[in-house]
Amino acid sequence: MSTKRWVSLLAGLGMVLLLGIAPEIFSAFMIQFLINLFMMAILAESWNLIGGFTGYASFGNAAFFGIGAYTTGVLLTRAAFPFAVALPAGGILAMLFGVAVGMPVLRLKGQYFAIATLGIGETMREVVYNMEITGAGTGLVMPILRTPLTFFYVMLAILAAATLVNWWVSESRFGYGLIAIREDEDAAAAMGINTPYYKTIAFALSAAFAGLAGGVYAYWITFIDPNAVFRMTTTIQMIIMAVFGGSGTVLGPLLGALVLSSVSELLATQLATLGELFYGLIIILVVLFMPKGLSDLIRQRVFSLKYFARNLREYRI
Amino acid sequence: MLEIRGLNAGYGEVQILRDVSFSVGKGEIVTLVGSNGAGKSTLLNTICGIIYPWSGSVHLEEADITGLNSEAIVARGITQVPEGRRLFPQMSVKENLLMGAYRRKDRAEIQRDLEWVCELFPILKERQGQRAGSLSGGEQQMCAIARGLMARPKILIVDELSLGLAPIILDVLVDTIQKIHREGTTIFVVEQDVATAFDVATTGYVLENGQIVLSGPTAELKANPHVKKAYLGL
Amino acid sequence: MHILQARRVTKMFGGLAAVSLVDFDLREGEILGLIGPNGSGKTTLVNVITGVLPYSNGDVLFRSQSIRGLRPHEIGRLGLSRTFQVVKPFRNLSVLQNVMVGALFGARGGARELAKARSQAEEVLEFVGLAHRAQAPAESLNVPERKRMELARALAMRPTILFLDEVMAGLNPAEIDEAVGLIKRIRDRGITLMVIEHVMKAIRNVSDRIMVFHHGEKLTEGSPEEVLNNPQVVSAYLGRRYAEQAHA
Repeated sequence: MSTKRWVSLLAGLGMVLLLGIAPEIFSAFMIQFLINLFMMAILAESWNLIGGFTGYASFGNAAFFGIGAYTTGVLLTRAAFPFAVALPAGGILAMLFGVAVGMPVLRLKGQYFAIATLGIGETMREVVYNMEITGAGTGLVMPILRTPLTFFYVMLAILAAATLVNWWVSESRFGYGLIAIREDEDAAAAMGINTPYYKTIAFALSAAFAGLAGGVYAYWITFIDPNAVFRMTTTIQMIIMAVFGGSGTVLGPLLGALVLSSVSELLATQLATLGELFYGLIIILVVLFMPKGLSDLIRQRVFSLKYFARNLREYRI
Repeated sequence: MLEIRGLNAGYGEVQILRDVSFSVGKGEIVTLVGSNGAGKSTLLNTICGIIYPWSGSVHLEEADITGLNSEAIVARGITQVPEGRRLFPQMSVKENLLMGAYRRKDRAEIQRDLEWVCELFPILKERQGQRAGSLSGGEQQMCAIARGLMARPKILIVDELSLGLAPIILDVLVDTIQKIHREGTTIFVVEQDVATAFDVATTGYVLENGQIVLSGPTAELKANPHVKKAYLGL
Repeated sequence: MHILQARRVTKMFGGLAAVSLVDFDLREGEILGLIGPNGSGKTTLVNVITGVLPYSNGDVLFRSQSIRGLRPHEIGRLGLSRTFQVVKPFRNLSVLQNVMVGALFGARGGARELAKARSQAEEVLEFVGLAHRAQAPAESLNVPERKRMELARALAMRPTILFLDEVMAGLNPAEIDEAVGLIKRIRDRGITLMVIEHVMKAIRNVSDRIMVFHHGEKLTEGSPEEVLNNPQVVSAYLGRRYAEQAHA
């Protein structure tokens, strides 16, 4: 491993440790904000694996989030499992679902894949809505945990893991395989990459982390129902954060989650429902002016408007 | 018909074309040849309004068309048969041909032109219902040229006629292009295969490093020692 | 030794036979040229052999083992690599990274570590003469460079057999000579080659034997002299201008 890689790994570790002391410094409100931020960052990083590196833009990852939430929720409420078991179970079930659904769906290209995954997201909500064990439309009420900091540390740990996986993928044989698939799938196959296998793994990993995030969310928020955890908006948010920050990079989704969560929080307090308008505007501006995201801006050390003008020109019809 | 005066152009800070001047007279068939990187695409991009030259001008029948956008340039009568054919692959051969006449409103004349191009390239008539993407390379090239002709252009520009085509297909194309020329169309061929280019055209220009280094009747150019060594491999 | 044997390979698209009952043998260490008019089935043949298209009939044996039905990545791992007629660069990667993908995957699964793949890729780039562009983004390459990168990528897979599909299109005479030399050096490394080309000067100089396709069938095969002077080949493929130039 090169020096650069070591440095980035240690820097990441340092960041995690630093955040670990955050509860000493920050207010309870801030802690809650951070838990939410970590969760969005996990979702963005998880999406990045299938959407960013592999180039298969999934529009249904909220399904995995919801499956994780409900699996953990059901095990906590109906089976009185401890959280330490219910949470991983959520992640595993979401992952298995990802594999099962991925095998047929990953054969589709581009917009067909997007629509199929969108359909899956929507379908899951209806399925869970109609199941007794999940409390159907009434939802599930979790036992209350008296140590709120648990959520903080668990989310942080999962985020660290998700980022670590992205970090590993970015400079590994597996990662090169995914990127090759994104750049030209036919050429990738001709070069010896088992494309269906690789795509399924990326999708499964993406599902696993989304599921874990969902599991923590269920316990944290203490009440879930189908509409809350199988939301189209959740999928859209994670995609926007990943793309805004820089899809296909390690730090991009983190950056995106950080910036957008913070700004959105600020705007919500000032502007209430105008926050939604804000999100829409961001998509438009990002796609027009900086499609490679914030991280490309930073990497290229952009100081002038030429960068934005060039992007606008390059992508116009 | 088409006159290029003192053209300087490039991308960003890199200069590609250096003081390029030449002309294509009405009714002539002219070729411009050069290796990869000599500046042929840059030249065509400048003529067709895709990039703006640093200095110099492009004139069509005395009118200055420098820097006009591509739509305006097509409207004035310049039609390009692009490198690599660029047919609409999902459309049929006939639909592609009709797309060539997109700007025209004279239905009866369009029909007559359709028959004319099918006479020039009988295989197109045979394959007119077929998806253009399923044609072989040579057939696609014929379709692309025919599509260009359907616009009844004042000048037809052919970019890289010979790329990836079998020698015998080139024979047919060379003959057909000369036939089209004899029937009155002004033609400008930009080409890398110098042998083919000098077979099809009567006047030639050689572009090297963005500059015109040789010009004259192609019969003379074929005998030029530099041309023979660098371009004909003789 | 016949490293590749094709037996009655057939590929139909609906009622149209794109490749029809093609038989040929590829000798280990030889360079076999494949010529023929556009649409005569040359690329389709390669697509069938490399698993991109399913067979309609027939079989191909690699080292006496049937490879019919294998998927493209399995074919690549066995040691058969190909370039694409319309090049397929990984645009957002550098030239070196493009070639690394070949080294990382490819024959027998390729290299497992990035460092090893990187040095293999650097060696290949040096060999094909693209080392000076190693860090350049693949997007920034011109057409001949892209073709060369495509070739380097296939080479990095450490193939036993390499199928080249029109790698010379668009090259000037000097570049063609260089490419012919490169192909011969590839053969010197122990790789067997099948080269599809329209550039006669190249095919003539590089091939040990030439096979001619016409309407999906093998018309004839033989030494370059035999094939290029064959009247059937002249009328089906070479045309009058070639004959004139060849005897000029």
